[in-house]
Amino acid sequence: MLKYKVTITEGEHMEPLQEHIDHLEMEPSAYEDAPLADDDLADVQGPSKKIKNQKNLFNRSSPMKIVRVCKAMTNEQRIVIRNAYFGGMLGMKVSKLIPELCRFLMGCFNPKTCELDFGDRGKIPITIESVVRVMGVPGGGSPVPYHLDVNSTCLILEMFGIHNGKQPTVAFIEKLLGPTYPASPDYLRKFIIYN
Amino acid sequence: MSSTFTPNTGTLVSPRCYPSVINTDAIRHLNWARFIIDVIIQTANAKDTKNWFKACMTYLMVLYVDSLDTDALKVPENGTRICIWTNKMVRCVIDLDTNSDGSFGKLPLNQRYRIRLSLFSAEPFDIDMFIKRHVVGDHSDEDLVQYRTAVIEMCNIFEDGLAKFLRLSNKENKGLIPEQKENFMEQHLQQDVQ
Repeated sequence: MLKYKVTITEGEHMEPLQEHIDHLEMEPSAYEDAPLADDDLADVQGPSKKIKNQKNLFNRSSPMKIVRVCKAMTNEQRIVIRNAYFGGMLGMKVSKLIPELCRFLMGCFNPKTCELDFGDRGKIPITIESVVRVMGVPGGGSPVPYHLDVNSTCLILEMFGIHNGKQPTVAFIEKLLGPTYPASPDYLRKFIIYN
Repeated sequence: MSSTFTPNTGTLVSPRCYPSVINTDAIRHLNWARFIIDVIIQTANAKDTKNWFKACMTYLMVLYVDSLDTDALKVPENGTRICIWTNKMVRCVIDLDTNSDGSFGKLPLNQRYRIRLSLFSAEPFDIDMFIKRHVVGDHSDEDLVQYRTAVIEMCNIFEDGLAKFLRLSNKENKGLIPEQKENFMEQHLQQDVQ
């Protein structure tokens, strides 16, 4: 069972040099002082000895992180998330990826036809309806803006209380999603950036 | 966005996700589903298959297990799929889908995703010829349409029955034996209660 208590360490994000080293070594040491779930370092299923070096990358893309944040949320925080139509993610039960299966599925994905093509077995189309049904995320009309914007960056760094221009770590935001933080619009912002 | 939709390879958050959260009222009106698909396409086009973890693999994995045809588990039909499938259920189905050489694809896909392989001709001309040859006496075009619908329907029923017979007669594709299935469901339910 996941029991996650948040301890707040101020200024964790102010270690950009250390983080770059971490990135090169693929060591998620940013999580070191965060209490981890008992099987956190094994949130990848199955044998993955050949790709041991990539294990930490698998862990970074693992849904384990979002599951443990959602489990610790207060009812008020959940309401904020639900009001943004992200309620489906609150009940996410799958927290482990199977690397071999993920590789197989990406190998079957045809970006031109946008479907998983299994040859004689058949084809699974990748559609907006299917993503909504599986992930429970909004499929609204406007595209998600995903680009660099100076004003947005200033506003968000201000929200995080960061004044040295360095981007926060994912682990830092995870701490700011703990149950002690108010269920405000900022909470929703942090949740979306985090998930 | 940093951990599930478009996972970071580094530990820092990408500032590219900031514009999407400036207006919190607009978040629910954005097409997050499209965004997830776009990232998958982008990752696939990058041709660097080692980087699959940059896309939302949770979606692809759950979609896949949810699209397999097996009676080993009773999976509720309604509800957000990531809230239905547990790690244990995924593992169970994937084990059944794994061939002896470790590759995937042992289980058939749900009927709706399967490529329809028919023993019978789907050409309307062939079907009409068959009907004309066997119907005794005169028949109008309307009669022909009725016969045609009935013949196609009967072919489908016959094929489905034959497929079911083959599935049941192949012990390997039966999945878990009933006793194991019961134990699995029991364990799973107990886990949920805890």
